[in-house]
Amino acid sequence: MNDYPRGDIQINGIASSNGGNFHHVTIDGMGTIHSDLTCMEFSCNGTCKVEGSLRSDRASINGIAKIQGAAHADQLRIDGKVTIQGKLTGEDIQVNGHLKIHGNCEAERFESNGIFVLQGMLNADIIEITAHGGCSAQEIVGEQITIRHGSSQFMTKLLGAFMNTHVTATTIEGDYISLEHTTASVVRGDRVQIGPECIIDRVEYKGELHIHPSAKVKYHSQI
Amino acid sequence: MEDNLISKKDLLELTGISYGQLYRWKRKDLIPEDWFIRKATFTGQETFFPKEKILDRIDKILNLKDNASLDDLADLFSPNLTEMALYSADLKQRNIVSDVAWQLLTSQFGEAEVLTYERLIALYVLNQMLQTGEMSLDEGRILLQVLNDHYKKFDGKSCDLIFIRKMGVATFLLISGNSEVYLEDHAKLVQRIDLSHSIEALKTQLSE
Repeated sequence: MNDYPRGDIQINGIASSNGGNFHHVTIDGMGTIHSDLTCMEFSCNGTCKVEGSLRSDRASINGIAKIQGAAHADQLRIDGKVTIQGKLTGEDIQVNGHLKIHGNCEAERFESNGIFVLQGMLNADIIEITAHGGCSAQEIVGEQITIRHGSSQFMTKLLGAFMNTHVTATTIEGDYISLEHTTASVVRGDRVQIGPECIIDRVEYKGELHIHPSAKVKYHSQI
Repeated sequence: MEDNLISKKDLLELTGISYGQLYRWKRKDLIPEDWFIRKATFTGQETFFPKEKILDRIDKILNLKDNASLDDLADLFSPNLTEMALYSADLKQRNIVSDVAWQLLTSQFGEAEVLTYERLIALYVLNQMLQTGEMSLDEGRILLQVLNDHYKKFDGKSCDLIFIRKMGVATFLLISGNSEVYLEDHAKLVQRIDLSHSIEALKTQLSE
């Protein structure tokens, strides 16, 4: 583990600071960090913008954050809306809300409750997604991939009438895959479960395959 | 190039590893990103790998993973210049490089008690090339100079060393890994060395 200097950044209200190495960084209100930031603990309540990359052991974001570089946090919890221009790496990533990443996302565990838009690949050992809106990623890969459709809340149903609430990916690959409301070109895995409302062009599986009657699978084959 | 690729499906079947393992190793940088070659096939998008490299790498990981942590393995495979330095005396004792190569280095850059990692790699590659018998000592001097001047610029990215001879005149090139090179008819490509491969071999020898 890194050694962090004792210095802290504390922003209450509207302020900005340069980046660097810190112990705790707390932003309550509106804060801008003008360069790369490394810290042990990052906490944002409100709005913050990092004009560089963020590296932190523990990070929690409640509110809106924009990170213009890459982000790394061993433990990351997001309640709100986060946009990352680079890639996101970490051990344990938990998202409640909206996450947008322009690069890849790599973690040991990725849990999402809400919406995510990933322009690259999502790669994690355990992936648990509860979709409450249109989620998308280029590729979703890992060992255990579970995609659920958000519970039948009124808002989800209402929005669902106007927009696509599917999880969309080109490729989904893993050992244990369980999907709901998912659109994909290819799904490959050992044990695959295709749940309700899935639209899959091609499924390749090794062990077993279950397909829900309301799912549309064009082609499937056992390898 | 085409023939030397293996699809991900075949790879998993051949080596008996799972998707989870493969992607975990990728996350830990045990398998470099640029080995993942994506291609569109009639069954949708498929990922291919350079066959020999990936089989060799997976074999190594499977053999070593019981004794070393994944992070240690990542250090072993990474082409990064680590903060490692070695005592010259230590190096001679371990018999990693020949005396001839050693003398060439000291005559070019002077005696040093401690070797930096970059020097170490230059020395190792020099030794490798000298042992093949295809390079003369004078050409070795050029090699050292090239590695000394330019290797740092690759900043840990994979790169190849190319040794060309035309009408008895030798020259060296450093190019980024896996790029294609074409020569005119009269020039002869004497050798092409993947430097990350040499670094891996060197690290294995040092860790023994």
